[in-house]
Amino acid sequence: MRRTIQIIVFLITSCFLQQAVAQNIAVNGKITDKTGTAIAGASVLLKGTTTATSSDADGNYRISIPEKGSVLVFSYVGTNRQEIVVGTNRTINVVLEDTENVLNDVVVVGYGTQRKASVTGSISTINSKEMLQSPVGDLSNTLAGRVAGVITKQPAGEPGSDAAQIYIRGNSTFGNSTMEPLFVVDGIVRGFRDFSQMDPNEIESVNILKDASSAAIFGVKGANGVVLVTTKRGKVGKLTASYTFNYGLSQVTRLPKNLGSYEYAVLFNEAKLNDNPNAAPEFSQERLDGFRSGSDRELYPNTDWMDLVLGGTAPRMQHNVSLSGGSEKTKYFTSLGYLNEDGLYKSLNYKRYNVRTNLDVQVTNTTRFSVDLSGRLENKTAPPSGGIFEHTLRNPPIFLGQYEDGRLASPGSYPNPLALVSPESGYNRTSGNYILTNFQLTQDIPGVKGLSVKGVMAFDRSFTYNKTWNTWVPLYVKNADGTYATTAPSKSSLSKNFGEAQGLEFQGQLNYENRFGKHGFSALALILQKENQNSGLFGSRNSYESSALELINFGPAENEVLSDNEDKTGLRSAAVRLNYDFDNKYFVQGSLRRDESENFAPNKRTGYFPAVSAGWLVTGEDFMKGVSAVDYLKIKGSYGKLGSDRIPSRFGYYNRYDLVPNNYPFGGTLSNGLVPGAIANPNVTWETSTKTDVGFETRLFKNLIGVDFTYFKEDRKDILANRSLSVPLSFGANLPTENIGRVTNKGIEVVLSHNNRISNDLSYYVSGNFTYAKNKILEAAEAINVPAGKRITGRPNGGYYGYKAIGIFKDAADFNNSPKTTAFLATSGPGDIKYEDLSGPNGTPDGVIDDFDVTYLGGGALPEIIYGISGGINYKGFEASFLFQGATRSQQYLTQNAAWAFYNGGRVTEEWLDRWTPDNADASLPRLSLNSNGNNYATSSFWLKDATYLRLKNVEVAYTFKTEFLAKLKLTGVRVYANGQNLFTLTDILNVDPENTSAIGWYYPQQKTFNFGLSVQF
Amino acid sequence: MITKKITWVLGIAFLASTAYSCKKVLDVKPTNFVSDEAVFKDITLTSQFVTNIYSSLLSGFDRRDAGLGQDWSVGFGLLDMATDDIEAHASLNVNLVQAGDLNPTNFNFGIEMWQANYVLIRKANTLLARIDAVETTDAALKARLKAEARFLRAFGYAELVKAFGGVPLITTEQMVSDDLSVPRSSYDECMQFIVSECDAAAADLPLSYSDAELGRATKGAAMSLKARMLLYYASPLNNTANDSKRWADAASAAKAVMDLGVYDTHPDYYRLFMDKTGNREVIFAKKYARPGRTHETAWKLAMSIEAPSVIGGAWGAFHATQNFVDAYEMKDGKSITDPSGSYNKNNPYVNRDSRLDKSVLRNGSSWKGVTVETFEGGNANKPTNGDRTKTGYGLKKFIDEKYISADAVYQGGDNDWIYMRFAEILLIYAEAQNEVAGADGSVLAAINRVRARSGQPALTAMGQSQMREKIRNERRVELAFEEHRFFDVRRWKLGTTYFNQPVKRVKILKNADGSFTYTDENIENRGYKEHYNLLPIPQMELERNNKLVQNPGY
Repeated sequence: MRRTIQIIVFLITSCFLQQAVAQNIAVNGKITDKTGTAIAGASVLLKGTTTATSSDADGNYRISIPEKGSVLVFSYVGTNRQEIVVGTNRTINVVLEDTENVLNDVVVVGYGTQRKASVTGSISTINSKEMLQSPVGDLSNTLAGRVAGVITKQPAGEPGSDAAQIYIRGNSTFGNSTMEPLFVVDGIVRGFRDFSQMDPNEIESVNILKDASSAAIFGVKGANGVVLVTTKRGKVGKLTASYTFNYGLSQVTRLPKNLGSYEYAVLFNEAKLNDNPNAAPEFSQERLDGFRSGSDRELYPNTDWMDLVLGGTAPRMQHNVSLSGGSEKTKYFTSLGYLNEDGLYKSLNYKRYNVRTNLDVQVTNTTRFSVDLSGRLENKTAPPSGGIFEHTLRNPPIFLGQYEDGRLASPGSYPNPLALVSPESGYNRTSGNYILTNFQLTQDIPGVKGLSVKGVMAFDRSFTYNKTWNTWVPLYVKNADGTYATTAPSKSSLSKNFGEAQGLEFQGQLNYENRFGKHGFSALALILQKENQNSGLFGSRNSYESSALELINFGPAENEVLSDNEDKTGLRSAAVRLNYDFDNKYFVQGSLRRDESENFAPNKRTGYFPAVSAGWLVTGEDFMKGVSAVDYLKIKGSYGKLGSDRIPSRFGYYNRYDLVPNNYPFGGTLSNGLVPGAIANPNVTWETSTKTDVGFETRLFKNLIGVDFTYFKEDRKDILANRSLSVPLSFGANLPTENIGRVTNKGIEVVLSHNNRISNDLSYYVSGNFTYAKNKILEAAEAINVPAGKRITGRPNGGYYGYKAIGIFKDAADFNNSPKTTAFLATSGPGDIKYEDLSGPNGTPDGVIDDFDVTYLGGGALPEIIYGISGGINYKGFEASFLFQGATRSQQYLTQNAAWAFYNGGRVTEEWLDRWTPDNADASLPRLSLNSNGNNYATSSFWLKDATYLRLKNVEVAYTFKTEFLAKLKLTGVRVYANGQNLFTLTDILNVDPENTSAIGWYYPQQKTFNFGLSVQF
Repeated sequence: MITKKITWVLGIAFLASTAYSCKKVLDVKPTNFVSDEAVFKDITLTSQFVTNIYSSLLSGFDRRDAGLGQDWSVGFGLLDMATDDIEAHASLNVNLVQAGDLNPTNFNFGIEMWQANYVLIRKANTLLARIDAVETTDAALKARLKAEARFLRAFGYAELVKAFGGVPLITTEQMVSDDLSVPRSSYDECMQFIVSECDAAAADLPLSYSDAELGRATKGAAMSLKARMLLYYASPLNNTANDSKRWADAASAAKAVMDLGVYDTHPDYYRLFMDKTGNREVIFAKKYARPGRTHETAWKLAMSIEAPSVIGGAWGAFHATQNFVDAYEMKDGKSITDPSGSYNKNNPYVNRDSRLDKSVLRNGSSWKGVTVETFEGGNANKPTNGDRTKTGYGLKKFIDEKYISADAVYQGGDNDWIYMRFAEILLIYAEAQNEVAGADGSVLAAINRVRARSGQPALTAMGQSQMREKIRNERRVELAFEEHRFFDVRRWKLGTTYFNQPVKRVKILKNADGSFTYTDENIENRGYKEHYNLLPIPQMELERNNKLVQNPGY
C-alpha cells in the first residue's frame, strides 16, 4: 500500500517536472497550414526516439537534435504528417496539408489502433467537435444522425434520464435479450451511463464498431456492436488551458393541443348523447355559457394542464476547465466539468460533476505508463411521486388548477398535477458517485522490433444513494362563503436505498507490429478477466405521525419494508488478432476470441468467436494511377461470429427459488416464502450472431466527393427467449430462458460527402448518411395453432398486430351492410370505425369481425430507415453547421389519453373537432363516446400512426477571435457560439414527439434547446 | 532504473497471469436465491415453499381486469361484476361480458382463473413430487404439509371445474420436455379427483391451528370444499338426470362440517369480513396483512365520494344495481313486492334486511362520518366526478372504514378474503336437503340460523319449490359479492332468467323540502346465452394445446 502511494505521489509530481534532455543542435521554425495560419500544438518528433515537442500558439517550435541527418516528424490532427531530414538549415518552416485523403488517419479499434487505410471492418467515427455541438446532458443523444448504422430513439427528455436507445444496425433479438451495444472507454468495458454521462470535453473521439471483424475481438459481448470512446490525452508542449461555458434554455419539442373547457363541454354533451340518446346533457347551457365567456375562471375554469406543468422553459448550464500539456517524459490532460440542468418544474434538477486526469509517463525509452483517473458525481432531485404525466395528460380543462391567491385547487376526484410537482410534496433525491480507474503499463521488448507487452488494471467503485420523502400538499375547495376547506391530510412516507458496486479488470496484451519490405504484420494477443460485485440495501416506512424528522426510525415500524440484495459476476477471455498487408494494397485480418461467462453452466460457458476480413486498396494498383478521377478506392468484406450473453435472469442453469420475505401472512404475521422462479435449463448459452459485411469506400475528384457503401447481413441464432408462445398455461411454472429464436437482419449503409475549399478563407462541406435495416423473425417457438394473421414468425421483430381499419361507417346503410365486430354489436353504429373482414374460422371472410381478422399491421416502433444530413461552412473565423436527422418506416401505437377523447374522464385533443357526426360523415375521427371499451378502441390500424419525421437536430454558428489584443491578454483564442438541439421537427404524428415510445403518452417530453457558449484558450 | 522497469513488467505480468489462471473468478454462486436441491432437503425451506403455494391463491381482491401480467389492474374487479348484482366502472373490460359478449379472448377474469390456478396446481405438484425426499424427524409436519398441498391443489381444480367444466388433470410435476398438450378430463373424473383429494387431505389436516398459524388449511376446509363441490355436482347444470343421490351426498357432506362443532356464525355481518381472530365463521380465507400483502379494494372498488375533508381518493369500480338492492327483504321478512308489505319507494331503505346497509352504501348511508349523497348533484353523484356512482349504490362490504383515509387508502386494505364460511355450509345443507326431502325441519334450522344472525325472522314450513326460491334469494343476499352468484346462477341454469334482464339504477332527486324522489331507470341491457354456463377455454391455451376441445357454443 505504501508503495502504491509512493508511486502515485511520484506520478503526480512528475508531471510538473520538465525533464532536461541532452541537446546538441537546436532547430526551430514555424508550422502553418496551407493558408499560412499558424498551427498551435502540432507535434514535432525526433524519429526513432521519444524526443518531441510541440508548436506554440504562434506555430513556432524549437527542438534539439543529436546530429545532422536526423529526421523530424511533424504531425497535427487532421493533417498529413511530414518527415523532414535536417540538413544544414537550422530553421525549418513546415506547411502541414489537411488530410483529405484518409490513407494516414489512425482509427481506434478494439484494444489498439490501426491506420484507416488498413481497416477492413465497418467503423464509423464521431469526432470531439461533433460531440461538443449538441447541448445535451446525455451523450447518447449526440450520436443521432451523425454516422451511418446507428439507429437512435430518445424516449424522454427528463434531465438526467434523457438517454437515447441505441441500436447498431437495427434490432435482431427479442425475448429476454437486449440490443444495447457494448461501451468501451479507453480499452475497458464500461456501463452505458459511464459513457453517456461523460463530459463531452473529455472525449477525443467515438468510434462505432459495426461489423463482425471489428467487434469480434469483444466476443460474447460484441454481437450488438461496440461504441469505443477515446478520451483526450496530453501532448508534448507547454500547458494549454481552456475554459468553456454554456448556457441554454430548453422547452418541450411539442405539446398536445387540447381543447379548452367550452369545446370540451360541448363535445362531452355530444358524447353522452351518443352513448344514450335519452341522457340529460352533462353541462347545462348556463355552464356552457360560463365556459365560453370565461368571465369567472374559478367557477368556469379553462385550465391548460399541459401548459401549466410542462409549458415552461428550463435553464441549463455547463462549465468545463481543462488543462493539458507535458514534456517528453510526462504528459497530462485534466478536465473538470459541471453540468446543471433544471426541469420544466421547480422540483426537478440534475447536477453532474465530472473529473478526469489522464497521465502518460515515459518511464524509460521503452516503458510507458499511463494512469487514467475519472470520476463523476450525479445528483438528481425529482418530485417524490409518480403520476405526474398521467394526471397532466388526463385532467380535463374544466377543473381548476389554482385559485387566484395561488392555493392549489382540488380538481374533482383526480390528483392535481401541480401538487405532484410542487416542492412542498417532498423529494426524490438520487446521488451517484463513480470512480473509474485505468492503469496501463507498456513495455517494448528490447531486441524484437515492434514487440511490446502491456498490462492493464482497471478498478471501479461506485456508491449510489436514494432518498424519497413524500409528504402531503393541501388542496383547497372554496366554500360558498369564500372560505376554503382543505383535503384530508395524508401521512408522510420515506424510503432510502443504498447501493455499492465494484469492478476489477485485468488485461495482459502482447502487441507486435512490423514491416518486412512489402509485407506488413501486426498482431495482438490478449487475456482478460473481470469480476464485478454489487450489493444494496433498501428500507422504507410510511404513515409518519410527524414530518419533523425525515429518518427511517422516526416512522412506525408496522409498515416497514426492508430488502437486501447481492450479486457477483465474472468473465474470463482470451483473444488473438492478426493483420497482414501486402504492399499496403491487400489487407487481411483474422481474429479469434475465447470467452468464459459464468452466466451459463460450466459445460456451456466456453465459446469461440472467430472473424476474418479482407480489403483491397484498388487505388494502390498501378493501373489506377491513370484514373485521375478516383483518388481512393477500397473494397472490403468481413465475416464472423459474435455472441451476446446478456440474459437478464442469471443462473438459468439452476432451478431457482427466491426467498421472499413477507410472502404470506399466517395468523396476520407475514411469513417468508420460497417462490419458485424459472425452472432450470442446463443448456442455456449465449446468442450467436453471424455477420457478413461487404462494401467500398471512395474519394473522387481530388477528394471533393466521397462515397461509402456497405451491405450488411446478420443471422442471429439461439436467441435467448422462453417458449411462452407455445407452452400451455397449464404448465404452471415460469419458463426457462432457452436458445430458441432466430432473426435475420439485413440492410445497407450509404455515406456521401462533399468537401470543398474555395479559397484560403472559405470552405464548406455537406454530408449525408443513410441506413436501411430490415429484420425478420425466422423462429420464435410459436404455438402451432396461432392463426396466420397473428403469427410473428416471418415478420419483423416488434411488429404491430390488430384489426385493419378501413374507415368510418358513414351512415346507417354503411353500418348495416358491413361486417361488424361481434364484441360490441350492442353499442356500435354509424360513426364507428370499420374494420376489414379478412378471414374467419374457415380461412375465408365470414362477415364478422373477430379474432380471425387480426392481422399484421406494420413493422413497429424502430425505424427501418434513418438518415442524417449535415453541412457546414467556414469563412475566416466564422463557422456555421447544421445537422438534419430523420427516420421513416416506423410507427407508434397511441391509445388511451394519448389518442382517445374522454378516456378515463380525461381531456380531448384538438383533432377531435373533426369527429363523425351525421352532418360530418367524412370525418377523420369516429363519433364521440364516453365508453372506452367500444368498437372504436379495439387494437387496430386506426390508432397506429406513421412516425416518420425529419428534425433539425443540431445547428451551430460560431466565431473564433484571434487578434493581437487577445494575444496580449495571453489568450490564444476565444470562440463564441450559439447552437441548438431539436430545433424544429416535421412530422405527421399528432400530439406526441415522433421519438416517443409510450403508447399512452406518459413521458417527460423531449426537449429542444437553445444554447450560447464561450470557449477560451490560454 | 532498469531494475525498476523489470520489476514493473514482471509485476504486471505476474498479476495478470495469476489472476487469469485462478479459476475463482468464474466460480460464482448465486447469492440471492436458493436452488431446488437445497429447498427439498430442509423441512424449514420446504415449509416456506408451502407458504408460497398459499400466496398463489386467487381471490376476489386479486383479479386483473386488464389481463395477464397487467398488475396495475389487480383488484379492479370482482367476478360478480359479470352478474346482475353489479354494474362496473365504464373503463373496465368486464363491461363487455356484462353487455352480453363472452368469447375465448375477452374475459380476462376467466383467462386469469385458468392461468393462476394452474400455477397453484404446479406448485402443489412440485411439493408432492419432492416432499418424500425431505429429511426430517417431524413426520407429522411432513404429513400435514403434504395434506395442505393436496387441499390447495384440489381447491385450484375446484375453481377451474366450477368455471370451465372438465379440465386437463395434471397431477405430476411436468418437465418442459414432457408432452404438455394434456387433454381435458371429463367433468366426472375431475369431480371424483377433487372429492377424493379432499377426503385424503381431511384425514391428515388438523381441526384448527394456533392463532399464529391461522389461515392454513384445516380438516373443515377440506370437508367444506367437498360439500361445495358436491352441491355443484348435484345442481341442474351438472346433474341433468337430477340424480337425487348427488343432492344427498352434498347434504351429508355439509352436515359433516356442521357436526364438527368448530364453526359458528359471527354475530356481526359487517365485522365478519374484518375480524381476523376469534372469527369462528371463517373456514378458509386468503390472508392479507400490512405491509406488503394488501389489497386495493379500499380505493379501487370503494365509492368515490367528494367529501374532501374526510375521505381519500377512491375510484369507484363497483356500483351495485337496483336489481340487487331489490332482492333484500323487509325487516319483517316480506319481499318488497309483497302487496301486504310496508315498502315505500320514496323511503326505500327503512325497515330493510340489516344486511343491505352492511353490504352497500346508498343515499343517506353514513360513511366515515359523512352522509353519502347519491342524489343528482350529491357528493357521490356530482357531474365533475368522473367516477361517481352509476347506479346510486357503492360497496361497503369488505371495506373497513379504517382504510378510508387519504394515506391509508393507498397502503391498501388487509382484511381477508373469505372463500368458505359457515353460513355457506348452512346454505349448502339447506339447498341440498331441500332437494332430497323438501323443506324439512333441518332445512329450516339451517337457513334460519343464517337469517337469525342478521335479525331476519325465521322461515316457517313451506313447500319445496317455495323453499328453493327462498334459498336462492338467501344466497344472493347473504353471500353477496363473494363470487358465488356468478356460479350459482349458472349451475341453476337460470342465466337467461337473471342475466338477460336490463340492470337498473335509481335516480334520486332532492326536493325542496329535503325529501327525495326515487325513480328506477334501466341503465344497461344485458345479454346472456345458454352456453355461457361454462366459460370458454382461453384462446391462447387452445393455440398452445392441440388436444383441448373448446366448450360448446364458443
